[in-house]
Amino acid sequence: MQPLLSLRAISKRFGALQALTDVDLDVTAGEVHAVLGENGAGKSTLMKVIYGLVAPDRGTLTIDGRPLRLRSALDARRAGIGMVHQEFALVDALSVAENLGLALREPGERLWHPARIRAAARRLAAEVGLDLGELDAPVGTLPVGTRQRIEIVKALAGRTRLLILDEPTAVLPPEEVGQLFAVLDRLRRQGTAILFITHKLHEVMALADRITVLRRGRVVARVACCDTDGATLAGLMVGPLATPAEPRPAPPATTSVALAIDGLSVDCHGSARALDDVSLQLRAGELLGIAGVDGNGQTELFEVLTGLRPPTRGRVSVDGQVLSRFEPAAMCAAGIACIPPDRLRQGVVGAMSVADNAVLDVRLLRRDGSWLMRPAAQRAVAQELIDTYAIKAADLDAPVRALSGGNMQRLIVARALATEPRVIVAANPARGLDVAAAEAVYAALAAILARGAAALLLSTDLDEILARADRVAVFYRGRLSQPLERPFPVERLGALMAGSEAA
Amino acid sequence: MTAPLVVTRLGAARYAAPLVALLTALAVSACLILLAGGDPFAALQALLSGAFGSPDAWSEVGVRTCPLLLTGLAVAIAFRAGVWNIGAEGQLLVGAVMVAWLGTRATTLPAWLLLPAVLCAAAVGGAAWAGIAGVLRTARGVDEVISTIMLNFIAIGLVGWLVHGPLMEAAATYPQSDAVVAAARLPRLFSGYRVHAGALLALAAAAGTALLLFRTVLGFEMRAVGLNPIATRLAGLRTTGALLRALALSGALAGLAGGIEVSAITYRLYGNFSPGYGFTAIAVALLGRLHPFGVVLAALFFAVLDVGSLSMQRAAGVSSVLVSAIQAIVIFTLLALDRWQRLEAAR
Amino acid sequence: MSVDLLTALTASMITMAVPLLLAALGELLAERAGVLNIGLEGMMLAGAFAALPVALHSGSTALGVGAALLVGAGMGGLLAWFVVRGGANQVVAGTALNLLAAGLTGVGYRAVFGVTGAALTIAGAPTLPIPGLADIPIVGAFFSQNLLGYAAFALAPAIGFLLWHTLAGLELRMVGEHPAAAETQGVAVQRVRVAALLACGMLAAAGGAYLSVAYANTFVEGMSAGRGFIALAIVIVGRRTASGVVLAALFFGLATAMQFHFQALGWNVPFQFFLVLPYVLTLLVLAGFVGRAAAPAALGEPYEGSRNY
Repeated sequence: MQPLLSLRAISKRFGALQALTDVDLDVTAGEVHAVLGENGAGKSTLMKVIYGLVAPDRGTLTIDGRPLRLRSALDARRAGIGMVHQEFALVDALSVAENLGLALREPGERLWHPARIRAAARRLAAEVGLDLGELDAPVGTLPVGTRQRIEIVKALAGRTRLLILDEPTAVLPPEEVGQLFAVLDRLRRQGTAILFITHKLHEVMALADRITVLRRGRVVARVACCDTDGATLAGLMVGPLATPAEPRPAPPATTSVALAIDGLSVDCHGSARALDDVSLQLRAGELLGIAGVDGNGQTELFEVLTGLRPPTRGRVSVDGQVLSRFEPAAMCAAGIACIPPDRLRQGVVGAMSVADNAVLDVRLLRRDGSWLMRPAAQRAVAQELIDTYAIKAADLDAPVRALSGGNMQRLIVARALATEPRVIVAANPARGLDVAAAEAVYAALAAILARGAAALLLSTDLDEILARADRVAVFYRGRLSQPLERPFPVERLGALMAGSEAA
Repeated sequence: MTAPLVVTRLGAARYAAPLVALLTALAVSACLILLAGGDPFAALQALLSGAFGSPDAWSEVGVRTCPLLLTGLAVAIAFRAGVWNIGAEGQLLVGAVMVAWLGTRATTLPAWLLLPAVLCAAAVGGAAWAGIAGVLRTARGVDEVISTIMLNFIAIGLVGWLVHGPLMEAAATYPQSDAVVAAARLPRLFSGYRVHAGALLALAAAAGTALLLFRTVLGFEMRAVGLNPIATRLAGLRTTGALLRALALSGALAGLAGGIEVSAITYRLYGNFSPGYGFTAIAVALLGRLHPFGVVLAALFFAVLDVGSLSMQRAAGVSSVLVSAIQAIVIFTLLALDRWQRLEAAR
Repeated sequence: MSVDLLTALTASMITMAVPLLLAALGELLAERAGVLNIGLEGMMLAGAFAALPVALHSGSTALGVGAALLVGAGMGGLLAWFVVRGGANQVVAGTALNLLAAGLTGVGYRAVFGVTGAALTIAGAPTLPIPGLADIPIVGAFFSQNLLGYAAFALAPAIGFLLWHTLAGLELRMVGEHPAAAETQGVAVQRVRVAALLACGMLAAAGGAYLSVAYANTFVEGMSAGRGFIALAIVIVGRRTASGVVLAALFFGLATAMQFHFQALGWNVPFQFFLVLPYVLTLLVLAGFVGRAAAPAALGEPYEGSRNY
């Protein structure tokens, strides 16, 4: 059977990052085809290529065997491709009908006929069994499930034969996921091809016919759903597990508890709990890894521990002192330092100089309690960090955004360690770094752990965690498993990540 | 809004952009003068001799620099903190009102007390006027761009009402206030010339602003918040009151500018009291690259233009409002250079 | 209050409202497309200036208005080049546009008319009363306007129709609310914004031309006198709808007219009260004390397209 859409040898590079390498993909009419992969595996880029939002550097697309050149999303729409974006492309201030107006317009139609658009929307929604509710309500007032249904109708408008859904369940409360799957199943039976992007294994097993697994921009497996199981897929996603490196000398079990988290919960409105009764104890000198597929609670835990988000319930204490205020300044005062996941957005002020960013922390700026800046002293601090951590920064006065990703990360880590923290919360500290830079980051962490600090390593890269952590706990849907000790039972970790074993 | 126009650059490029902007502005102006049937060289000569040709001209440049420098600093400090204060004009007027009011009412106070009091009142008045926009923003989410523009016109109306009513001179002839008493007047630096101690105050304010921005944690916070509030907050620095603090400081500087004008030059408050210093201030701040010392040079440059343009108008028949066009071309050139540099950086 | 006084007040209100209305309609288009145009004042001034010499030398006010439209489109294009194509800060660029207009019109005025500017008055646009309707007391003034006045009141429903009853209008509003979403629907975001700014420039310049060739019948330096900023306020108070803009323009026109008539009414208030009324009202509306009006979500945000990476 001829595939509806074929991709051959698609490659795309963004600057230094090779996002896609020689990706082949075939999608047939009437199948649900899951594209599975970790965050940063290239799934979203691939979908944008298919929807005309990103032009590939190399490779070809064909639809019905005819070559397809996409210069914009409009070209993709004309070719019968529709997409539901992860972040909805809906205008909150406009009504449902207005949001659908452009998608449902007839060729040559100039005027806005709300009655015709409403009728067309209802007809299309009824065909696939979607309930859109009140079509004159502003979209901003509607629950997220309804918005997604609007997006699906929008994507289906105009004889769409291939529907792309980018992580469609990420925003849905659990009870609505079933309804979505029912709709997708009906579409499949009507002959629509569905490309379904996800990193949730159980959804793939529940819905998909065929699965393509991406890792680091390459296709690593093509399997039929009936030939595989969750644990195998988890293994394919994270890759062949390296032999766990020689563990660092384990911290003596008698050391004090540096960080204690007790019954921590974060509620998200309209969705499942982002953090659900999380408890853990982190001993001085210990590096605890938190594994889990992205979106299962790591972000929220990072935000609570750095003071960006107050928890709904629960207690956090550092060295036995219970924290009363969840504000970044209070966290700094308590001795928590962080290595944030998004360097440019959260870690540095890009337009300020290397010297300024080297002291961008209240503990460094006010080390002597004074409100004065001492440029000479602070430049000395910056120079010392640069020398100690071998940061390649030629000019202390150059804007920090001119540094490479690796050197910027080294600077952020160096700054965090310079505050002499009791606890370091590191979120994906090695993401996007080359081997040397990653090693440097961990060497620095090891040095401060040896001085009695504790570190929490939040990472979606299981390899990284297995190589570096003393113990590992796994997040799944906001719940944290009991920590596992070395040697790590890799199969069990995979099962915990896939949610197929209860924590 | 896009990020403020703070671009830290390497080496010579840091100084190149303002110079390119100046040269472009002068070249375009020369073309304009040609188009208008004038002689650009004669105009330039008239301009220069008007600004530098006599001790009096030098003095006038000093007089003109003072309000441009203070309002330019006001705009620079706000833009640095990511606050779009377009209301320096209104804040300047409120500062002037405070001096005209205290300087004609609290006449029993001795000079050593009254002069500092009126200047402080000017700063407080300007800060309070800017504070309205700050409170509207923090409490009700009102965009400060629009609110500061509206407050400019409300201040203009306020001045108009005051000089026709409560503050109108005793003689009730002209719509203006009485002259402030001698004890509320800033001393002149040289007898016979109008340049006054306020110019020194303005220079001190520039130094103070530089110290604040670059030598205090408060200034560091303000700069960082304006560029990246999230990273600043994660670093444990204060972000919540940053907007109010920046607006208050900015308003205080602008208010001081108006207060000094009344205390040292006009002595009276009247309708068209300011020729739009608060709007020129935006060009001054941007040309000075939002750096206090750059603002000093930019204010001096525009003061020279202002003073020189009057004799240029007399001698060469070119309207003095050409200066406004020069300001505009300076801003447009800087915007274009920013764009060009961003594209270069992205490459 | 006599009927005569009310009739005079209405006529005066309309005369004051027309230039405000024209500029505000332009700003309505720009803001709905997501561009905050602070340079409205400069566009009006440029239009006021451009119309006069052409009207004077050709003897035709229509040609004068045509010149203003051209200049206005040029101003709109200049702003669009910086803020839409270049992604420059809209506040800074708009401020520069105001300064540019002040400088160029000042220099140009002297160049074209000499220093004195004497004998610079023109006949002005003729009033075209509609027989019968124009004689009705009080509201008759609506039917006794010049062509620009009629055009302004006719354009308001036309722009309302464009924005809310055509798909082009839907595209424009989407661009102002959520440009990325509009782009996924195949809308050329930058092109829409450029078009909106061109139209805005032309409308604002037409408002300015009304001042010089239909109201004052001369040009005075700085004659827009803050009307561009009042038009900004009108768009906010009118909640960014066409009908709201008409009502707000009439109200602010009335406030301006009151400056000339309130003494006849025997009111004991300072005339500056009417001067600042629009601005105070705008602040109250913005603060939500007089009903809140949400701005387009992407107002003031540059958008350079998602394909650029």
